[in-house]
Amino acid sequence: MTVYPSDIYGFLGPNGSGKTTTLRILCGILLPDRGEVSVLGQNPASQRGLLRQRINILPESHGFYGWMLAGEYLRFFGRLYGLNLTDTDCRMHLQQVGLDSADRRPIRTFSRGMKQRVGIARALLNDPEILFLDEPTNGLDPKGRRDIHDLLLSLNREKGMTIIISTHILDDVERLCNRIAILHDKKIQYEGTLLEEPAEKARTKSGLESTYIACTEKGKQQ
Amino acid sequence: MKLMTLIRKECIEDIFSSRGAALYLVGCGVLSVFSLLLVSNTELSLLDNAQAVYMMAGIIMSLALLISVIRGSDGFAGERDRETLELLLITPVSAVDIGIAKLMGTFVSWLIIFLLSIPYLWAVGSTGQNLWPAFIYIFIAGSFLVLIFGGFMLGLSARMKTFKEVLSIGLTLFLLSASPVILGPSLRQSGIGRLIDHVNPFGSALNMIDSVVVDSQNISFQLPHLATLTICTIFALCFLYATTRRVEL
Repeated sequence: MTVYPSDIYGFLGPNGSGKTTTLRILCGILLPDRGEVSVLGQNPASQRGLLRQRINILPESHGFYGWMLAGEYLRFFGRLYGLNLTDTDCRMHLQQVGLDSADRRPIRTFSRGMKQRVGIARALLNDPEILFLDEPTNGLDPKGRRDIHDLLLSLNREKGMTIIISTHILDDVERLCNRIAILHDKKIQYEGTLLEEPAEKARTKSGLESTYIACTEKGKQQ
Repeated sequence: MKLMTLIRKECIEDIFSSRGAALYLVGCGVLSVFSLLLVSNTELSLLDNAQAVYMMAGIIMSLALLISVIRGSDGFAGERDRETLELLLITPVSAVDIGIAKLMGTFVSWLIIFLLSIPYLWAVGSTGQNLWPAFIYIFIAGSFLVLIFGGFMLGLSARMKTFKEVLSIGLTLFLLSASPVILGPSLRQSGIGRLIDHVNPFGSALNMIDSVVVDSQNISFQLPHLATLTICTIFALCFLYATTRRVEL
C-alpha cells in the first residue's frame, strides 16, 4: 500500500477485514506481527513521538471525557500537542466543523453526530500532514456528511493535507478519494486510482461498486 | 506542560466525578463509624488513646490501599473500556507520562483522604501521646502504600484488557496484603506470619505506626520498615515504567 503526498486515499473493505488494525499500525498504536511500515519516512513503532506530532487520527469508536466542555476538550488535547489554545481558537476550531457556539457545552450533552464533529476538530488541532479517518461520517446526517466532505476536500486542496479514509461507504469514497485500496481477508485485493472526469463519475461509482464486490467475493472464494 | 495537563485532568476526573465523590463519602463514613465506636463504645473507650490512634491508622491505611487498587485498576484499563485510551496514545505524550500522571492523580486522592482523616484522628487521640508523630508516620506510610499499590495496579492495567480483570487481581492482592491484620497477634508470631509481616508493605506500614504510636520508639527502630517500603516502592515504580513503555490497545 503506497500513499502519495496530498492523496485522499480510500481504504475500503468489509467488516473485520483489518482496516482499523492497519490504521492503528500506521499510527504506531499497534505493532505489526511482520512486514514493514513507513509513514512520512519514519517507523511508527520506533519513532512514535516525532511522528505523532505530524499525524492525527479520528478512530472509529472513540470515547469522550463527557464531563469536559467542548472547548476544554480541545484545549486539553491541544496542550498535549504543545499548543496553548485560547477560547477564540477553540471556537474557531469548532466552527470549522459546524459546531457554532458549542464550546461552553459539556460533551455528554452532545448527539452522536456532534461528538463526531468534535472528534474531527480534535484530529485537526495539530494541523497534521497526514490525517487518518476511520469511518469519519458515521452517525452524521446527510448535511453533516456533506459538510465533512467539503471540509476534507478544502483541507486537501488548500493545505495539501494527505487524508487516508477507512470506510465501507462507497459514496464517501466516490466523492472524496483519488486513490483507493480494497482490503479483504487481511490482504490488499485491489489498489488503484479513481477516474476524475465528471462524465465518467457515474460509471466510476458503479465501477467502484463492482470492483469492491468482485474483490470481496474473490476473497471469499479463496 | 504536557505532564501537568495530564495530572490536572486526572485530578479533576478523580475529585469532581461522582465516583470520586462516592469514594470520599464512603471513606468519611467508615472513619466516622470507627471513631464513634472508639469514643462511645464502653469496651473500646477503655483503650489507651495511642491504641485508638493505631486502630484508626489501620483504617486509614486500608483506605489508602483501597484507593490505590481502585484508581490503579481503572488507570489504563478503565480508559480502554471507555474507549478514550486510543486518543491519549495517538498524542505525542509517552505512555510512561500517562502512567505517572495517573499515579499522581491517585496520590492526590490519598492526600484528600489523609486531610479528611485528621479531624477523626484528633477526636480519638487528642488527649493521648504521640499524636503528632502519628500524623507524620501515617502520611509517610500511606504515601508509600499508594505509590506501591497504585504503581503496581497501574502497571497491570496497562497490560490487561479490562477494568474488571485488573480489579479482581487488585482485590485479591488487597486481601493478601491485609492478612497481617486478619491473622491476629498470635499467628503473626509464627514463622509464616513473620515472613508475611516482613515482606508485606502493608504489614510494614502498620508495624511502623505501631512502633511509633504505641511503643514510642524512635526512628532507628523504623528503619527496617522504611527499607521494606522503599524497596517495594522502587520495584512498583520499575514495574510501572516497564509495563507502560509499550502500551497497546
